[in-house]
Amino acid sequence: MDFKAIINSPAMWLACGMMVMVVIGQSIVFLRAAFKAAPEMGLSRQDCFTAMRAAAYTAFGPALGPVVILIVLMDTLGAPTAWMRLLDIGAAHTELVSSTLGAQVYGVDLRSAAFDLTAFSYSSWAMALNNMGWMIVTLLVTPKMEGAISTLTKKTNPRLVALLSAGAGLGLFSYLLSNQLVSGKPGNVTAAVAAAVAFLLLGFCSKKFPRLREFSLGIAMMAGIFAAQAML
Amino acid sequence: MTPNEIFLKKCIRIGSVTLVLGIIANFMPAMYLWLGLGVKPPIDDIGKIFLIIASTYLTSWITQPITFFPLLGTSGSYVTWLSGSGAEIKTPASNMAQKAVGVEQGTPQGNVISTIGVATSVFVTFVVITSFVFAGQYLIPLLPVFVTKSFGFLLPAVFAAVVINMAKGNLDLCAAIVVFATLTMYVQKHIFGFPTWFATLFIVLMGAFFGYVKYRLTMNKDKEQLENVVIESNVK
Repeated sequence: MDFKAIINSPAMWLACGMMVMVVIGQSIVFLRAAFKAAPEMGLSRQDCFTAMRAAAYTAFGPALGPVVILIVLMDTLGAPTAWMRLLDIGAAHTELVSSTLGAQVYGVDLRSAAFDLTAFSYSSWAMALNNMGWMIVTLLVTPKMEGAISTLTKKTNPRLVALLSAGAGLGLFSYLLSNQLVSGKPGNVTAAVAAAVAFLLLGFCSKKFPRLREFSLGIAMMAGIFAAQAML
Repeated sequence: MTPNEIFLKKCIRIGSVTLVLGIIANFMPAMYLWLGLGVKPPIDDIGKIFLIIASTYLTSWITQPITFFPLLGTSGSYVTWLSGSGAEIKTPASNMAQKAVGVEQGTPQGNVISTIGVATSVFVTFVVITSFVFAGQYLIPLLPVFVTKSFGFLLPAVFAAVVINMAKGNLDLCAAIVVFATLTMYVQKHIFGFPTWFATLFIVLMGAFFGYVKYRLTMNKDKEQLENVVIESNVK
């Protein structure tokens, strides 16, 4: 079997499908647990479905984001690996970087003609080792985080904890946003400003039309990307 | 135990089991190549790959799950660090689910709704990515060029909208942090190239510091208001 046939073989689909099954299975179990806990927290079934709808509308646009890079990954690493790695931890560009780093240890470049099955195995190890890092840290720190935050809230002023946490969260997303703003890519600033203005306007409108809230991020995002593309 | 404590304990159990399964499944393609086809890097090279990967991503492995925790909560963290896209998909989905229902982040209700939001976003991503894997290569050329080119602006648009959403009640704090972050990143990119992981950590910590400054400033204001009330009532 040649290289392309192996990386797109049914056995490879099966090997990659296991991670996808864990990802989907985890969300099904969490969703069931949340639906079960909802009435005890004073939330109705209607609230749960409203949350699902809002999240679905919001996630749809950003989920389309990596489709262009998906085509590159499919062409280089095969459809099963591209599918698995875009559905598990590690952004599309992170997977590209780690698979490139792995292949370079073997001494070849990801998009070169010399990229063979052995080089592919180097890339597979690199992506797996990278993803393992996040999962192990999460496994170790997450059970302690809720306790740490609640101890902090009990020992200090809750308003202080709320402001520290809001500041840190805004810091993280301001970093991500500013990284885009200073990248020098024409249109990025327009996209950000148009999306921010649209989101603020939708916020005012949703006071009168509450159903609008579910769509607001999706609409704001489309306003941003189309405005940027139109202004180019 | 309160219902919230029971729910959190359950989330930790589900999250721990599924993450262990995830770590195993993550190696399946590499294992298939090794055990099925006899193709694998020598152990020395696996060590080299690990060193290179760890030196590139170690700080992200440690800082990201901790910095995202207040935004994602317990269940959201387990889902995000198995399925990825914390900034682009999971946090916005969690945020908007809570906003649509009208619950606050960090409250017991907020935790349940965030769990529903984050889990739903995984299904949506699965449908979108799987559809594109099978049909995307035929579909993408059919979309208008204007639309496919506009996908390139998704990240600044999503991040800007999320920042505004997170700013509710703290627009002053938000403006200060965005300006500070933009200046820092401008210096990092164009003047003095310190490492990106340092920039992330520095801006997050300064964001928390700005939150502290706002706390101190508004605390004094609250005190002044209280004193004015006391003085006014004494005068009366």
